[in-house]
Amino acid sequence: MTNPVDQSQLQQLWRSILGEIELITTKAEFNTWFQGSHILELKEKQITIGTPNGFAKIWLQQKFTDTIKKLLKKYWPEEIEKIIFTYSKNKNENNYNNSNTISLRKTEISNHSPQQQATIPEFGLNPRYTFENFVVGQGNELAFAAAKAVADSPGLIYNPLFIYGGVGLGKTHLMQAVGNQIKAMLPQKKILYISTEKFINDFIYSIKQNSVNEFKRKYRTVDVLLVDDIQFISGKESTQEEFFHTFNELYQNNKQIVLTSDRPPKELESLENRLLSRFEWGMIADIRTPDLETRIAILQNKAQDKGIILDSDSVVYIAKMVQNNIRELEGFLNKLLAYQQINNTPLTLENIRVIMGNNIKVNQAKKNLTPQNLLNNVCKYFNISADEILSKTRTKHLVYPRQILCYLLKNEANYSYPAIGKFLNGRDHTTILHAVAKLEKEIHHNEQLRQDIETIKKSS
Amino acid sequence: MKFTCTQENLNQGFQIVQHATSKNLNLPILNNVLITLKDKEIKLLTTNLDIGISYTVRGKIEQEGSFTVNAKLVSDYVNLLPKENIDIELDNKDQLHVKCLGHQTKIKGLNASDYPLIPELNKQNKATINVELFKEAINSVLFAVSKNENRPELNGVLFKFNNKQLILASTDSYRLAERKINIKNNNLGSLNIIVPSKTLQELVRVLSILKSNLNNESEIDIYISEGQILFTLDNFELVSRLIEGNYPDYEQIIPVKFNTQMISSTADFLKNIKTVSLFVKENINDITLQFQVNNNDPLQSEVHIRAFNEQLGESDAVVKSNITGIDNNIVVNYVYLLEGLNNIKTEEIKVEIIDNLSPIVISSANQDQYLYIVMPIRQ
Repeated sequence: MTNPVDQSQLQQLWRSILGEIELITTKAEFNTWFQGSHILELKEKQITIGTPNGFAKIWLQQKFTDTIKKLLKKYWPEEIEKIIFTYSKNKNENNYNNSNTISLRKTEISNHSPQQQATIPEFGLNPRYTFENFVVGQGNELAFAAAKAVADSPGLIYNPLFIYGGVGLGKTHLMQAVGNQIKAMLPQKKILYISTEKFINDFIYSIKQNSVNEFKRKYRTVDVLLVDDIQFISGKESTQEEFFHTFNELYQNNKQIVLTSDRPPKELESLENRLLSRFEWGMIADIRTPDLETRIAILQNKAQDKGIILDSDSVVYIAKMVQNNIRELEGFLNKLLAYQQINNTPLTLENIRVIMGNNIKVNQAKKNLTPQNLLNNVCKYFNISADEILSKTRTKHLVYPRQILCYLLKNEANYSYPAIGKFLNGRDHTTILHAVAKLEKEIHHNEQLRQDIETIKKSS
Repeated sequence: MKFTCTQENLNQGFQIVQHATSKNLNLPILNNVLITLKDKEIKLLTTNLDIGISYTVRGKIEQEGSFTVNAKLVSDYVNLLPKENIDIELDNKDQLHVKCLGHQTKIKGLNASDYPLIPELNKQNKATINVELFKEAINSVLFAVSKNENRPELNGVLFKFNNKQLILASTDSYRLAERKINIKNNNLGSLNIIVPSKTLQELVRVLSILKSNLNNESEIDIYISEGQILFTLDNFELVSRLIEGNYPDYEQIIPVKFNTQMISSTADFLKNIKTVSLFVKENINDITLQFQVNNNDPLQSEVHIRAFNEQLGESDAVVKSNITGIDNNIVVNYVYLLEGLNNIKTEEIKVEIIDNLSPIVISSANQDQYLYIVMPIRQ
């Protein structure tokens, strides 16, 4: 054979040889010495093998020449007499962007005080939050659709848009996504994203500095106002009044308003009625805890962003363990990333279990829930005695805690209905069934109940 | 394998090679130092597969052989031994017996045949440089190497060989340092390579340890082939991979025309910047240089150095200088400024600027061997 052999054949040959070598070497050895190696050419009974560095070159030359020769005999019909090892970068890996120019960068500093420039990007919007990287699932599809509609035609359909839901479920993400999309499509629009706390502070400051007019100008001239965590406005009467006027002014001029809160408008305590009715004017969308599939999707997205490689078992495992809070999920991913970088080892399910072990306390605590514990906690929370709750008395102040206890025994301790009945001083299982079913229905719209249950759960 | 060696010799050898080991979990043998007794030489060698360091120590060989033991352990141990002769012998249970005046230790190790081999370079062509000069030149550019791993080619120092001259350059894209040195002997021709900053840090460290063995005339040899560079000096060798890729064409960003030029005493300028720098804003490190030309007598011109911090107060220092051109001012990070100024060994420096948006250029006043450029802070 006098002509050089074509490249795809050579690649095929080298793959077969590597396949065999992988079996007779340790993984570490294989990765260290054979990664990036390739056949450069094969002609006239002579084969040239390229290695990515000098260390690999000399190691292969000294330790693997015979092995490779043997394998060549097996996979290649022609006889090969000579193997040459040489240093050569793998062409495939050399495609990284290698611009030949450089420019020096100025350090740019604005004249604001250091705190301000550190936290507030343009309009207060963080470009990281977009609709594209928001994972839609059962719990948040309504909120997502509403936010998207608002971003497509600000001020025209749902005004105001009121998004509520628990901590770390993506309220701020959706709201910022609205702002970012409007900014991208209609750059001339003035968008203002603020937290309610900032609004309150601004307002107080303006009164102190006697610059209320300036304050009004700032807030009433925007095209899109995004206010985060509006629940903090509860109880601040004059701020509410100012916000009410701002709201009216913007609303009348068809300016879009988006609000987020951790609970629905009705449950915002000490909120003036005129403000409450305005919050309910447009569209109220809730975000609920994501289901398992959504969590898996979110996890995969985030892992990809961060460059963490997870197999599907690990993803499912993490999604099962971290249930309530996407922020917690993200925090955990950061931890995995750090682990991966520090130890320079791939993440296996085993590793993840170990790392998770010292992270997730809530779920471990769950396993320790005994009926007696739950009983004590419920009694402590409602300030009643265990005897009372177990007694036959059916006064209102006992019935409610008793129902909660049933609910918790069923859902947290996984007790059967008859077992709960027995535990509660020989009640009939249908009584328990009724209590649990009632609360399961109510928990979705009774905020007080939800909070009671959450608090008791946490104290367990 | 069996040999005898003085504690001083062996200790120096371990100190020199010890740092190239790596904590590689895949190949634990990389934590070890390879000791080879062959051809009347006691050779110590370590590598992390990026760089490899070897050093030959003097001693009496009784039986040839080779073995590897944990580098940190053995070097820490030998360091604490009394300054007497040390007898070392390998038994048949993979243990190294170390004996020295009342101390007897067995150190477990791994077979030498599993230890990585160090690439051998083609030694036909080389460049030869005075060690002191070379070390000083590396130090004057090493600090400006980029630590950002997005552009690997900036994570090293550019070595530009050109006949009898070697140019070293580095930049982190906020500042740039360039040093030209003369080399005695160069068969490498014209060649551009990028040497990783870690390699140079290691080289500088070893050269400092070897200082007592060297004199003003000592020279280091440099060989380059197949993506590797080899430094040799007496019985010390350091081999390292080079960074692949092309170094950006940095010369185009060095300004050539200036509006204001200042010649000043290096020591005065340096001291006044340090004084004023106590009052810079945290994390910004900004100081203002204001050049005021005295047209009647340029030698009596002044440069004001100012800093202002809301909490601490403000400071102003004047240095009498020779300034030509127009009045001008610029705001720069004083840390960057000091790092460059520290490398200027001449009594006077030359500072040149265009305006407050263009780079400031600092060089030694009477020779064009060192050039340092810093971008201003824009306010």
